Amino acid sequence: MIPQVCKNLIALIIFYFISISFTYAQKNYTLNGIVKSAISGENLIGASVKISGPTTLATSSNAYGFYAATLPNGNYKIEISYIGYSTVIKQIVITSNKTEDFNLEEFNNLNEVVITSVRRNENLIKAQMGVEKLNIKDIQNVPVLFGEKDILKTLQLLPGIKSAGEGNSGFYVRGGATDQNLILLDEAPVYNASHLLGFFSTFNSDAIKDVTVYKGGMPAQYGGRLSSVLDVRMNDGNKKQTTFEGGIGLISSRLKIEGPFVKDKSSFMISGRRTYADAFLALSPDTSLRGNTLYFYDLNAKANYQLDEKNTLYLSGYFGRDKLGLSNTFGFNWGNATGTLRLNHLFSSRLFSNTSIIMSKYDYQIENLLSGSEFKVSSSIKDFNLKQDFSFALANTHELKFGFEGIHHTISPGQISSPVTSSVNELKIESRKGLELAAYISDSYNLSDQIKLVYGLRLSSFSVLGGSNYKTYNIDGEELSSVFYKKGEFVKTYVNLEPRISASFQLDDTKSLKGSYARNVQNLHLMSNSTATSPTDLYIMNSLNTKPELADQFSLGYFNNLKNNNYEFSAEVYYKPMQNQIEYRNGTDLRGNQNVEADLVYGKGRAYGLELFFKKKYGRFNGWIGYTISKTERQFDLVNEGKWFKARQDKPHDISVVGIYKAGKRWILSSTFIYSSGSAVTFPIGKYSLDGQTVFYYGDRNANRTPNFHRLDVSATLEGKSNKKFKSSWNFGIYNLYNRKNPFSIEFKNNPDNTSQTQAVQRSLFGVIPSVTWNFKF
Amino acid sequence: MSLFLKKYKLQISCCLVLLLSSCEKIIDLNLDQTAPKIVIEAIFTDLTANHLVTISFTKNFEADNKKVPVSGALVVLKEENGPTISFIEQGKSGNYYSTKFKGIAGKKYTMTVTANGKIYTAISKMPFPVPLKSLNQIELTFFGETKKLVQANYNDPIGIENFYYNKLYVNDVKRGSLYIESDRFNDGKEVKNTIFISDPDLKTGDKVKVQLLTIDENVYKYLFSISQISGNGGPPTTPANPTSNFTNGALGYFSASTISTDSLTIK
Repeated sequence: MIPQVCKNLIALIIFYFISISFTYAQKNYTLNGIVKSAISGENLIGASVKISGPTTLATSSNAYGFYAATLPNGNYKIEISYIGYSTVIKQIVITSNKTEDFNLEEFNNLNEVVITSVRRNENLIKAQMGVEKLNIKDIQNVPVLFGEKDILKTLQLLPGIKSAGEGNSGFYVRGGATDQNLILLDEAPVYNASHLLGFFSTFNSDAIKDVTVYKGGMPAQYGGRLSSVLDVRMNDGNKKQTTFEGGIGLISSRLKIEGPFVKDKSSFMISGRRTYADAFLALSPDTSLRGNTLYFYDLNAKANYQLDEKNTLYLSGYFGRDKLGLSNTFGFNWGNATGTLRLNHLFSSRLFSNTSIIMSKYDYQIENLLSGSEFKVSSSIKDFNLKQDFSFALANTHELKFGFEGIHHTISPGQISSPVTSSVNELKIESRKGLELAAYISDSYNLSDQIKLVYGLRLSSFSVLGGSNYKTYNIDGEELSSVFYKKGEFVKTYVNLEPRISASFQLDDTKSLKGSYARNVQNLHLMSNSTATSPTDLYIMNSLNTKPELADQFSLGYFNNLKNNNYEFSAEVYYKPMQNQIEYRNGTDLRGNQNVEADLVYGKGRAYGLELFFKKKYGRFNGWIGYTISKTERQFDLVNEGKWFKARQDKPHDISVVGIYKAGKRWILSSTFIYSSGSAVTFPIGKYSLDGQTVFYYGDRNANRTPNFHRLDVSATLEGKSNKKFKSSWNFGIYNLYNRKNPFSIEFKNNPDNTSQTQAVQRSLFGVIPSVTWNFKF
Repeated sequence: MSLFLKKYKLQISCCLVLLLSSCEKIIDLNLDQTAPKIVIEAIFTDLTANHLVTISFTKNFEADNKKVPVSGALVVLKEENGPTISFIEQGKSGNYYSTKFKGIAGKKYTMTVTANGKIYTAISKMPFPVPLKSLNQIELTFFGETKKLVQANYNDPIGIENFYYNKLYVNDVKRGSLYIESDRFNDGKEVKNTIFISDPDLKTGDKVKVQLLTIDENVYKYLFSISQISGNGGPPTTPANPTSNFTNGALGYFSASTISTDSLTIK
C-alpha cells in the first residue's frame, strides 16, 4: 500500500513541477548565493532578500543561508538585511545566471537593542502566519531563573505559548499538550527537552544560532506533532578565526570553542555546560551527603566542510545527561543524544537539495540499591531518520519545496534487571517498532503584490511493525485478541493527507490580513498521568487500538505596523478541533505495565483563542506586550461521565510584558512581567475516613483552578570596557522581585497540629532569587 | 519501584525547595460541597473475632474529621455455600459488629448493606494466607539525615497473583498512610519490603506493629487509586474517585482478608 501511495505522490509532484515549469520558465535567469556573517563566516538563516528592478521580489535565505531567485534580465537593486547586522545594498545586472554571496557586518551592538524582525515590515507581507522567530541575540537580555539564558523560557513570553508551570521547560501551544510540540535540534527530534526535573531546557543558548516556532499553518515540510514546530539550529562555527566564549554563573558554567579547520571553508563548534549544585555537597563534612549527586551536563558539537562550490557537508550532535543519586540507595539518570549528518548540494543554480541522516535517542535508567531488593530499570526510544528536501526557485512568483522522509522508531518501554539475590524479578516489556513515511510539496506563490500564498500537501503514513504481540481490547479494557506478528511484518498502516495553506492579503502599506489552515497528524504519544511531567513518562506509538491523533487548525490574523514600522500590532484567532486524544483510565498503575493499552481511553479535544501582540521593535527602549484569551477542553466517554472538561493546559488569561532599555553606553536594563490564570485542577468536594486515613471525594474533572500566577523579573547587563580582543559582561538578575508565592502544588491533608481537621496547603517553589553571571569572549 | 522514584523525586524537589527559600502556606479555597454520600468500610479476617463494619457519610472539606454515622442499616454477610452472618449496630454509632466467626481462605463472600432505602452489595474472595515471617529494623540516609525504618519480610507464593495491605501501628496508634503492595515485580520471591515511615520519624523505644493483610485485586485497585490521588510520595495524579467494589455508588470497600501480625521495638 505504501509504495503505491508514494509512487502516486511522486507522479503528482513531477506532473505539478513540469506543468508549472512550462508556464513560467521563459527568459529567466537565476540569482543565488549564501548570506553570511562577515566576522564569523556563519551562514545566516532567514536573512531578508529584497530585490527590486524589472520585477520586485522578496525572499529569504534558507536554513543553510542559501537564497535563490528567478529574474528576467535587467538592472536590480538587492537589499539584504538581518537582525543585528547592517543592511547591505548592491546593484546587480542580470544577463545570465549569477551567484552572489553576501557578507553582513555585525553592528556595534551598543547603539541599540534589536529585539526581532528581520525586515521592517516582513511581518506584514509574508504569507506565513502563526510563526515566531527568535534570534539568539533576542534572548540575551531577557531575565530568567538563575540567569541561565533559556530559549524555551523566553518563547513562553510570546502570545499563544504558555508555560506548563514554574520551573518547567514544558510548554503548551494553542491548547496543545507538552508532547504535541515537535522539537527539532538540527532536524533531530528531541524527546525530552528538559533538565533537572524541568528547571532548565536542554538547549544551551551558546550553541544555538536560530529558533523558529510555528504555532499554526505549519509549512508542509514539518509533520509528526499536533500543536507546534520548534525548529532549533545550532551554530556552524566560526570560519574566520578561533574564538572562546563562556560564562560562569551561580548554578552552572559554560564554555564554547569554535574556529576554522580550513579558513573560509570549514569550521567546528563545541559547546559544553555543566551545573554544579552538587559540587557544594562534595564540600560537605558529612560523608553521606558527599555521596549524593544532582547535576546535568550537555555537549553540543558541530563541524562543516565545504567540499566544493556545490557541496557542503555538516555533522552535528548533541549529548546531554541528568544524574540524580542518593548514596547506597538510589540512582536515576536520563538524557538525549542526537546526531545529524547533512549534505547540501546545488543541482543547479535554482535547485537546492539537503539530504540528512538523523538519529535520536532518549533513555533513562533507575537503579535501586537497597540491599535485598536491588533492581535496575532501563527504558529508551530510538529513531533513525532519512530525509531529503529540495527547494526550487521556479519563477519569481513561485518557490517550491518538496521532499520525503522516513523514520524508523523503536520504543523499549522498560526492562527490569536484578541480581538473583534480589527480591525483585527480572521483567522485560516488549519493544515496539514503527515506520513513519512522508512526502510533501509546498509552493510559495506571490499571486500579486497584495496576495501571497504558501500552500502545500503532506502525505504521511505510519506502519506498526511486527516483532511482538499486539492485542486488542474492548471498551472496558478486557483483552479481545492477542496475535504475534513476525519481525518486519506490517501489522497496520495508517495513511493521512495533511493539507496546509497560509495566505496574506495586504490591505495597504501598514496593514494586512492573513488566514491559514493546517491539518497535523501525530503518531507518537507521551503518556503521563501526573499533573507534572516526569522523565519517566511513557512514549507509545500507534497500534491496533491507538490511532493517530489529528488536529485541524483554522486561524485568522490582522497585522498592523505603526509609526514607520517602529511598532507592530497583531491579532490572531484560532480554532483547533482534535481527534483521537488519549488519556489513562482512572487508577492506572503505570509501573512496569505490560498492557498499558488496556488502560487507555480515547476522546476528542477542542481549543480556541485570541492572541493580541503589541511590540516596539527599535530604539533605546523596546519590548512587547502579549495577551491571550483561550479555552481548551477535552471529552472522553469514559472520563468525567462523558462531559467536556477543561484540559490541564487550559489557562484562559495569559499576559506577558517584556521591556528592554539601553541605559547609557554600557548598561542594558530589562524586565518581564507575567500573569496567567491558574491551572485547571480537581479539588475535593467532600471527605471521609477509611481506617484512620482521611480520603477526599472529588468533583468534576478540572472544574477548579489554582490561584493566579504572576511574577516580575528584572535584570541588568553591564558590558565590559570595549577591547578588541577580549569582551566580557556581567549579568545581574532578580527573579520574582516582589516575592510572589505562586502555587507549585496544592495538597489536601490533615492538619498536623489538629488531626481532626483538614487543610489545603499551597507549596511555592521560588521566592526572590538573585543571580549573577560573568560572560566572556575572546 | 517507581514509588521509590516518586519518594526521591519528592525528596529532591523538597531539597531544591529548601535551598530556594521555599514556602508552604495554608490557603482558603472556598471548595464546592456535595450532598453526603454513603461510605462503607468492611474488612473481616480469618481470625475468630467480632468483625466490624463501619458506615458513615462523607462530610464537607471544612468540617472536622469526625465520622457522621449511618444508623439503622441492615448488614448481612453471606459465605459461598455457607452460613449468613448478621452484623448488629452498637448503639447509634454506625459501627456494626458480627457474632464471633472466622473467614475461610478461598471462599467467596457477599456483603449486603441496606441503608436509607438503598441496597449496596460487594463481593470479595478471601485470598490464601501469606504469613509475615519477621520484621527487622534498617537505617537509610536521605541527604545527610539517617532514618530508622522497618522492613517486613515474607515469602510470596509463586505463580499466583498476591496483593497485600500492611497496617502499621506505632505505639499502638495506627498510622494513616496506605502501605499496599502487589507481587507483580517479585512473584515467588523472598520479599523484604521497606516501609517508609515519616511524620513523625521512628525513634528508639518506639513499638512498631505490622499487620500483613492479603487482599483481592479489586480491593488492591481501590486502595491503589486512593494512594495515587493522595499523592503518597510523589506528584499527584489528576484525581478521580476510586471505583469501589460496592454497587449503587457507595464509597469504601469490602475485603475478606487473611491476617498475620508481628512487632518490634526500635533500637
